[in-house]
Amino acid sequence: MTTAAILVVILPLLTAPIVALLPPGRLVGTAAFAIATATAVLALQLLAATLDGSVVIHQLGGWPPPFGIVYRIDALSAVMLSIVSVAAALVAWFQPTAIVDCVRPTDRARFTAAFLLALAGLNGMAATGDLFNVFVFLEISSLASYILIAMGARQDRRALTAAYDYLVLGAVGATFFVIGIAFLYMVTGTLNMADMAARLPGASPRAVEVGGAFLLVGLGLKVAIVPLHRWLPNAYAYAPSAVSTFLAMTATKVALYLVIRLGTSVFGGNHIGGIDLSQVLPALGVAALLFGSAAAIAEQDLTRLLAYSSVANIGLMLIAVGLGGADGIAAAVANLINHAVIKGGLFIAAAAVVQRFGHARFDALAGLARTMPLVFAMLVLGGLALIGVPLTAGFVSKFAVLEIAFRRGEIVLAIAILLSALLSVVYVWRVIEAGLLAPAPKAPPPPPPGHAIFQPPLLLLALAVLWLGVDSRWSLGVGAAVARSLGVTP
Amino acid sequence: MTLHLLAGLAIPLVAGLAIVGTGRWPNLRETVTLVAALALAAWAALEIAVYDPAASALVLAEPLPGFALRLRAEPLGLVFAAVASGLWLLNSSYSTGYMRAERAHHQTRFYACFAFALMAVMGVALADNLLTLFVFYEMLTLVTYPLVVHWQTPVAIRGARLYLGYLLGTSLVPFLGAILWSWAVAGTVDFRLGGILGGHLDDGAMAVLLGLYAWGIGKAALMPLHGWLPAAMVAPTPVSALLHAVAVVKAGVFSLLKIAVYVFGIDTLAHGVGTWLVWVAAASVVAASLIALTKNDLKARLAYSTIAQLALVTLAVGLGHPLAIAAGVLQLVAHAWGKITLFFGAGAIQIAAHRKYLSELDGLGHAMPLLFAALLVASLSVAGVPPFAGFWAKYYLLTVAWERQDLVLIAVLGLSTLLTLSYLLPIIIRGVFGAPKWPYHIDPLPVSALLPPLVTAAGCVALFFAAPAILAFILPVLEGPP
Repeated sequence: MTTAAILVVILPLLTAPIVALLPPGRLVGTAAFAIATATAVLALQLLAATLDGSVVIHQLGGWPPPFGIVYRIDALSAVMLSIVSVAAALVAWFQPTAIVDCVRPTDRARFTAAFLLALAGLNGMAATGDLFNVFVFLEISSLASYILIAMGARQDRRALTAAYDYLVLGAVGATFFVIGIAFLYMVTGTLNMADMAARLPGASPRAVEVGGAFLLVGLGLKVAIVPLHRWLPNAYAYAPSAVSTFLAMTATKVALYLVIRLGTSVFGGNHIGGIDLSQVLPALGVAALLFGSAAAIAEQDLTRLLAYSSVANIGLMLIAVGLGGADGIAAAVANLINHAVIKGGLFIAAAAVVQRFGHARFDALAGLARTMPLVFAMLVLGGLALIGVPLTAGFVSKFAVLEIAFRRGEIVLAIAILLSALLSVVYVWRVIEAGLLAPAPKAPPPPPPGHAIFQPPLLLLALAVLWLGVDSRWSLGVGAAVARSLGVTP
Repeated sequence: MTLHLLAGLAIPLVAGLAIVGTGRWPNLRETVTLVAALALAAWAALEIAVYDPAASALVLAEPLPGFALRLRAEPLGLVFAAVASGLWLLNSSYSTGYMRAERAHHQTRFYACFAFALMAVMGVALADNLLTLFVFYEMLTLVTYPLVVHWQTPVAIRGARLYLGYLLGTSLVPFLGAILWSWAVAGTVDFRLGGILGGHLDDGAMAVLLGLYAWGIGKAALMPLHGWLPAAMVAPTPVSALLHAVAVVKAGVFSLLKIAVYVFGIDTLAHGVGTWLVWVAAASVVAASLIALTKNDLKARLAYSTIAQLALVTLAVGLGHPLAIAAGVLQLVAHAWGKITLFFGAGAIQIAAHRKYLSELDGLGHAMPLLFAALLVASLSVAGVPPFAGFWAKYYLLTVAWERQDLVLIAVLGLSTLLTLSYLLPIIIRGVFGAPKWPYHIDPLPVSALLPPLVTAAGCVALFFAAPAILAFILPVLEGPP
């Protein structure tokens, strides 16, 4: 099992260069799918092994910490690895078809290699127990994402500016992050997270405060906390649809994972440096929730609408993390899982629309209920989940956070969450009206070859949205196990 | 085992799926609807016949720890289920005639959503805790949306938006908030005889919570959150009948009644918590009746009449007296039969004579005597004239008002009856005594569209005599915990 801890990172990392050298053809896509699926299986095995609270540790090169780098998988890491790897497997499944229009055949091998590198980077961030190693993987995943986003340029030139925006802002974020690490290294003399946690109480508080602030702002950019969200909508909207699906399911969540990790295992007590997350994050979360929902209302393009809705959903996760405690962490983890499933389904639906119509502006949605029933069903179901209608995964997410807010007497917070549902009704219903009521075009373009490939993941995620709405063991139950393994006091 | 409760949800669900499957063969599709409606009505009758107060609840699932989806048969819910399923049968027969006469499109979607709506209604009726109630309440809003937007004209789309906006908005903010608040103070969301809130909140907070429920349950259309109801009149007439008489509004006031009895407890409400609600509801009754007087469009007139008549149920909840709750239940039942007759009538006039305004009805009574007789019976019943079903509710409300020596309330109730007569009777008066102003052409009315209003009108008479039986059935609820 300890090899699995390293394999989830090494497997995509080492196979990426090989995939890049493969001749253009079917083999590339198949290889990527096989690698991503193998990674997902490993990640799920790790999850099964760690849910009871045990920890899987792999020491790189046999060097014990704090001298060597360790990969330390606890339940929280395993949840994150599972989300990322399963998302990668789903995306790898339909990615060869989805990128036909935007990636030249000769570039496909390198595109796929970048995709595997992004997977390796995101998994690395979740798996490693070493703070500097986190930074390295952050950069690997970010660089790969810039490439992937820029690949949308053949379909829409704006992908280049979107990728450039993300590059600049991402670089700023990463710089802040590494400065923060430097401060902490300066006063603790270690980069190993467990070791650092032990030494922090005795370290100079001012350096810790400054370092913590840098870390949080750097991560804030990656999480896309309002007002640091500017890179996200364009990046999601203009990237190739397969890339936006993958990023929407994973990228911001891994950054949020780091916030949780720092707040629980490293600094502890829901603090990062001198910053009390329970003071800061709920307010930021409410701002994100209201701003993201309101911004989504004004959009005319399905992917941009979904991107802003992600900004809002991140707000809800921030509130959950900010509320903290065992139930707060459980709710946050449940939100991570549910949101990955919901947004994954919605973005795959958008990808199917893009593949058939060339874009996902609202006029492409006209008559979708008749022309692409399954895609429309996913849009309705996912939309209802975004609103938080009961029996969908979104209800569990929202209800779990609301429950905590009510129990702790945070009435203003609860009211803000309830009100945000009104905004989401408006933007979701614009999508539903477009698909259900607008007359279908006289001669819609026929489904392009290989279009049916979208159906298995759509069906799978639609069922998952319903299942997670009826049975919260796989979201809240897992979240509770994570909180237990982190030793968070209620 | 109480698995038989599941049939109440399964029959309409399976029917809805079968309707989608048989969409290509209209006759078969309508047969499915009618058979399912018959089965559901039989199921409801059977449930009442074998009702056992000691029967345990049926847990469907537990979406969140401590929040289960649970069904239980209890008197209020069974009465509501019986009314809804019985009227679904008649409504389906009527829909067949109406939708074919109108040559409507998307009929498969129409019948399927109708069936799913009934499933949601059964869920509301059988809900054993606030979460279950909320789940099915939301489901009802969503599955009736395609029905309201059916014609897909710009007006219909706007009306449906209002419908959805009001109902989802109120349920997602105040209603859900009230549920969570109740849970936070009482530690449970279960329905218990005598209520779960007693002693946990002071009267002021309790009154605020009651307000969150009264307006949060937007389907009850308590003024000023009634705007969706007239807006939803753009739907085909059988849908309007469903919204007003069978499902949506009724689900709203029924939820209020259930929450009054099982969450607040009648005793708690009687301490004056609901006094303000009595006056808000009374104002709603008078205002809606006055607006109804000004409406020339038949369906709009009936819509405001519904707002007024159902505000009486809210008023009964506010009174918090066992007799008042009884009046609320009887009003729910009687109004369902009366109002559906009126809507059937309005729709029949539309498909046969192509008239939808009061001012166009002159002389129609001679061409459609049976229909207008049914309309007269229904109007008198809704107004509360004996010997028709609507009488008992008004009578019990007056009794309570008399007991409280509340002259203003007595005046309001009297005024409500007078106003009801003055906005409903002109329909019949014009039809019978008005001289036709211009020659009109009357298409023959399909039997499937004529028979249902006659049956429901007869029901208005029968229910006058059946009221004591209903009262006896719900008596244990009114008496409270032993």
